[in-house]
Amino acid sequence: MTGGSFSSTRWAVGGLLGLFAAVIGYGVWLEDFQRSFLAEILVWGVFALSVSLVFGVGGMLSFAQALYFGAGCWGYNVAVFAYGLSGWAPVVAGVGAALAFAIPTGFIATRVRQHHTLIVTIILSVLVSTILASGHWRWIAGPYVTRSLPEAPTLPLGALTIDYADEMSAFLATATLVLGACLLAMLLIRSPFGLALKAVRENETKAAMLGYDVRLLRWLMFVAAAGFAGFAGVLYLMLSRYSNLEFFDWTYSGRAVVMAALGGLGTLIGPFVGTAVYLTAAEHLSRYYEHFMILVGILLLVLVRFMPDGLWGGAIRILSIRFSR
Amino acid sequence: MTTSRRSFLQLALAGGASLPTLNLMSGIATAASSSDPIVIGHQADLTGGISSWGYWLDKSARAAVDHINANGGVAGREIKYVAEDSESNPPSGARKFRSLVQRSKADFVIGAVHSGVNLATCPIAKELKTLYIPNGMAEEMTGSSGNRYVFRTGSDTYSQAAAGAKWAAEQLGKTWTFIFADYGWGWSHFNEHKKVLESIGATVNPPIAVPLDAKDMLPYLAKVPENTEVLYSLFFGSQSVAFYTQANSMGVNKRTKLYSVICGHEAISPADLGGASEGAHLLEYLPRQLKHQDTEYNRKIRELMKVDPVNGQEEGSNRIIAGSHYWATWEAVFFIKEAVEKSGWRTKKDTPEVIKALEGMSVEESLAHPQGAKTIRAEDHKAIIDFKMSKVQDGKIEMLHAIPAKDIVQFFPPRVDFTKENV
Repeated sequence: MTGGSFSSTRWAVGGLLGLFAAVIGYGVWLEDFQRSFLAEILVWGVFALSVSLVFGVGGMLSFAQALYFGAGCWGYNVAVFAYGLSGWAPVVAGVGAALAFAIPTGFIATRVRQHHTLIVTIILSVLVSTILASGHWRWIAGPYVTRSLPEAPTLPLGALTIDYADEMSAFLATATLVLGACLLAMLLIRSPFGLALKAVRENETKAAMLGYDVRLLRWLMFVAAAGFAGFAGVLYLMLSRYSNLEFFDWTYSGRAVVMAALGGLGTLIGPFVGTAVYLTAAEHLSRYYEHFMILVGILLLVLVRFMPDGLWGGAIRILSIRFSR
Repeated sequence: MTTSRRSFLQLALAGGASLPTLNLMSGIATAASSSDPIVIGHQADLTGGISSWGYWLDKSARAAVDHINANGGVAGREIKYVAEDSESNPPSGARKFRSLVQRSKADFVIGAVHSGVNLATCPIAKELKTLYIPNGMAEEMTGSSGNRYVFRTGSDTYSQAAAGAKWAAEQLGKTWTFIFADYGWGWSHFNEHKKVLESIGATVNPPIAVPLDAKDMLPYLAKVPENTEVLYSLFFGSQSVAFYTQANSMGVNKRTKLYSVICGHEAISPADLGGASEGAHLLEYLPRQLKHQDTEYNRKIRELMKVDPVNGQEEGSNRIIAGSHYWATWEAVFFIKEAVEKSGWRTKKDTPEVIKALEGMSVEESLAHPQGAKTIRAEDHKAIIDFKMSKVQDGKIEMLHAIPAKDIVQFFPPRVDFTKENV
């Protein structure tokens, strides 16, 4: 969180919990379609959060996030279909797959700087999705990714079992898991690691002179952000029971970059605000106007022009100025 | 899609603001009574990759609804038709399905022609206990990814291979090479055809899979082995144009016979290819030209579609009809009508009765079913339909002969049995 006078951790955790309580309360009050839509916004929000972390905090504009979203789906489904696992194990497998895949690919992507990161991550994405789609290599992902879950997933929680077949349970489980991801991201940003990374982003040479291992820091952050993207993939798969090779495509990364930039890069809540605005605008407009993407595009241009730090980032900035007077 | 400027602006504003407005659009759920309209939703591909087909599926379903409403409705009730845009994108399409069922209270939903959207929707259809009629060609919807709530009124890769491969192998040649776009759809065609061809003793060369973004076909066409008698191609849109023009300029179409399903020509006129596909054999599901199935029913539906009898070009536009696909949504609306009337369906909780009525339902060629007589097979919920073998001649798609369903049905036995599932 970039927020001057709001920066004490206790305040931030409290604020986050309060915000989620409000979101969950709102979701429970909503009608069924809107409730599952809200759950979907939270899930894509975690995906946008991974961009906020890798780009906003780490300073690396990655278009490879969709690879890790897809890897999350892949890991989950391999656990389900190849090993017959259920409950939490596929969730761990999904996030684990994303992290494991990010170690070598992140190593390559973080060797370069600025716009080269963008180019390298796009090349990586195109390379991987072409390989996975190709008939010769289809055995890697085809049998696992392009399959729907036959049954709604369940998550054991002590004496309770959360059944995703019930829409309210699915919403509550999703919202709670997203809250968990946000708390983890907050810890990451505020940890000495997160602060060191900020130093690297601001001035790499200075950070190196202070004794930081710049390469390692960037690599670790890249892998961590990939874990969030993979977790988003897992959450989406559980919510929709569906995944596809298309999820590996770099255009999905592009969408996440737009959502994160719209809400505020480097912030925790911004990506969710951006995702909500993007999806809600697309959802409402597309019902009444076929070429709604033109309007969404104009809306984005206006927002980016007048609020370059995003809706949430801008709101925080304005509030900070007010309160510090 | 008529929206006044003011109401449109309000919507734009409502969309622009975020979460707090989510609930603005919601109606208050009311218990359906048996005199209310029956709501048929359509998850239509109105924008994105496959919208040149989606346009026709929407137009045709809309025409069917208007026709039924003007002629007494369904069991005396009016149909309300609601279309939402899938954006040719699976996550959006699945969300639109939910929106149709939960927000617009759709009783039945006709699905996209984008297979990815269909596959994303099948599990939700089961959970929301809503009858779903997808229009994509992937075999899985009436196979491994289907369920008791999913029905198909059109065709799929499995039955297409069974319908065309045997005749083509006997008439065009026994040594085949496949060249196709390197993704699920192309591989599905290759695998289904290979099974049929090898079972009748034909030879299948190693496949030539072309990356989706390749515009230059020459390196791939150069790989077509000398011994090839039949070259099976499967591309979409601009890649299809590239394939036919470059195969023509290299003379590949002189030394081999070109064969494919209609999809590479769907919503495209052979004239647009500059004669490059001349002589190619195509498997159609309803002839592009009216004269090859000149029934009063096809005359009527083409009149409603406002297309010319030869090229299927729309009056006042450059659109070419997706002639082998558009009828499937027209018939889907009528299948729903017939199943509702047969089962005595009154509200959505009676949907299991509609499912049982559809399983094994046979219909005659009629205005409701202009493509021809057909049966919905009970086990896998797939419509067993007639096909046509056609050929591009003088820039037109000319039918050679009909392939009646009864002659080919034994070549694609059901792979699943949904009737064993509970509803």
